[in-house]
Amino acid sequence: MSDNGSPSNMQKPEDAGQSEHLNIKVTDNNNEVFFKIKRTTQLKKLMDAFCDRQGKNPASVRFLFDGARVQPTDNPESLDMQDGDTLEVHQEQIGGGC
Amino acid sequence: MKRKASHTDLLAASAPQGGDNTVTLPYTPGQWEPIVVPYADSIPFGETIQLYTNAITFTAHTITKLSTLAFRRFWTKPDIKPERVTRSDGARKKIILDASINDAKPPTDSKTSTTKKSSTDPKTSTTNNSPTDSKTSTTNNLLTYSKSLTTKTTTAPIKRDLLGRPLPYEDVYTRWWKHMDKYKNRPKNRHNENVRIAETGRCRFYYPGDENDDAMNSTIEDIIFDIDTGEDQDAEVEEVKRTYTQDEIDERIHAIVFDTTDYWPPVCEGDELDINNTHDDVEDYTADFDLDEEVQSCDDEVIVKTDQYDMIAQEEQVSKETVVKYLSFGQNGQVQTVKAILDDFDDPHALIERGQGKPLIPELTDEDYDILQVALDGTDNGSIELELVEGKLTTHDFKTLLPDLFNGNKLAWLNDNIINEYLSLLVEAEKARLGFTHTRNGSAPPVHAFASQWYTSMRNNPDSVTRWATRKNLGQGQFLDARLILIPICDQSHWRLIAIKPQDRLVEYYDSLNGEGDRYFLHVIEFLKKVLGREYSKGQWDFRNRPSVPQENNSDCGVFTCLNALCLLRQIDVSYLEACAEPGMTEPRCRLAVTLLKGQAIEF
Repeated sequence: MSDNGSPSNMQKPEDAGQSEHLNIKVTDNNNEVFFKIKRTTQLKKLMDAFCDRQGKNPASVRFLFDGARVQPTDNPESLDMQDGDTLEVHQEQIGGGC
Repeated sequence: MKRKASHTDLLAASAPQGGDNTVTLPYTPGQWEPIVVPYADSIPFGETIQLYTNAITFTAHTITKLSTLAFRRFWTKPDIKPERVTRSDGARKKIILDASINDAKPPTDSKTSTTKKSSTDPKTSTTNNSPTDSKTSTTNNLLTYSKSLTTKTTTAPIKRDLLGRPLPYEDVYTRWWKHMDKYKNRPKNRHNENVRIAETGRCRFYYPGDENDDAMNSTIEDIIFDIDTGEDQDAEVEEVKRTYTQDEIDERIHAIVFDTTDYWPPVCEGDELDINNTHDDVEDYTADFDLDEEVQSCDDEVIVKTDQYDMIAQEEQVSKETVVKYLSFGQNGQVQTVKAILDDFDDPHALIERGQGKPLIPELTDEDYDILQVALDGTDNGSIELELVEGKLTTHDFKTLLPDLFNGNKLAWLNDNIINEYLSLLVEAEKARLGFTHTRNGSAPPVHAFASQWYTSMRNNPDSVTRWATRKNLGQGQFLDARLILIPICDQSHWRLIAIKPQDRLVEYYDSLNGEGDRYFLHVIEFLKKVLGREYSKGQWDFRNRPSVPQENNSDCGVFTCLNALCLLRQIDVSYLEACAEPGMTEPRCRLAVTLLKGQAIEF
């Protein structure tokens, strides 16, 4: 019965107790973008929007929330996000030892 | 045999057609300190052995390797007493392997005596320390060395890559040496310079620009103009372009930029080696042994006692004669040489099978190869971009891990996704082994690995990292309950590992290039202050740079970082890594890949 995979704009309002929308900051330490999303919106939407807006290749960036990599299918609820929380955006790191 | 068959299967899947350029190399690269190998071939066990080397890597690594060697041989920690381990660049180091026992009478066949002669050569040149002499001996050494190259050609096995192809750069390297022949009478010219720098293993010079530059695109101008020798560099470029075809130049650049450290000929006496090589590792090592710090001469002496036959006999419940016979002589009455033991070294599992627990890198099974093969087939050998591990790893990530198989950049530099995911799988496996499950506001995990973005975040926004810890039940006092916190760090295109042992109030730094971790310690201190708050007390914590088994090329630091982490999680000495250290780290890379594809670590 989980609606984890369904399109975000068709969520049933579930959590009556909590406010339906959250403000999430996405920052790569240069740019900050604020998003207002539903608790059950897949974060993929937000990640794509950030990449789109900042002209970044989605393959070369990683989104972290509290030190854990965010999966596109995660949503604020599954990650226990609060209003005002931040997603960190990091570039790919590679190293070999020069 | 089974495993090899699987290799061939993989080969059949993705090897290019018609690769028949089999060029044999004089020694198997990466087996040991290559400088030592020519002499080691002639050293019988059972007598005092003196190895002379001016290999610049004569460091803790060499000694660890000797020690491990003896350890494997005698199943016990050998009594190592380096009387003086001091460093002066270009100087010869003398290693004495004291394996004298009464019973062993190694036959003095012709082979032994001829090679003995050659091993005394360096000794005589050691005494000549005047700068004028060193120049001539440079060329002499080169000549001697290239001679030894030609005489040994037949015995060397062909090094093959995972796909069973002869490694292409061996060919390049052989050519490279031919080029060297042309120039060997011009000791101060740039071609020697290039070799010299390549030999140090610090190819930094050949990475033009910053980490984002593609070293693949180096030009001959980049290489020649990188080092100002005061000669006419334009003319030099012209000469090179006149002498070689573009293909040859490209190959050579490739050899310099990527593969030189796989083939590490001796650095010659008189060479100045000042390429950011701080030799701190040596100092660390000497400190451990509380050595006399006085520099008495250019000779460095290490004594490795391996007189342990009695004990082995007792342990193995065989007669001492058997042990002596087995250890001192080969099957055909030939002297068991250090080289033979080095060959033994190549089997990473041999040591472990002798009661040392599981191997660091479990050998790939047929099933493992199947898993790898499925990934290869699915991505058409890396040409299709796919999610190979859902939501986590894509073809692109695997290209950094197994570039040969997934058709990635030859640099073979691991990316953060691979490192972070592998470490988290290891941590999960260890937590599962200890029966730990994470609950919100529950107890602290015994082990944890932070993502490699820790360092970036600590620099930009330290407060966020405090939240990382809290999220994992590692906030405040709970942090001190953990046994091991791992933090991989990618800085300046190099992977290194910080290990925090909160219970011991100890922070360690592991670096396969044996650099120093002081700048990272500063961030760890800041992190500890933030996480522990008032519980942080400056005097309690100890910060140590630990020796790591060094990587043997300029690509593998990520793999070494992972394996150092594995050793720490398994609570075994990081020198275990020695058993699988080789340039390219093909087997460990495959193991990493399979673990990642399976999503489950069996390395415990």
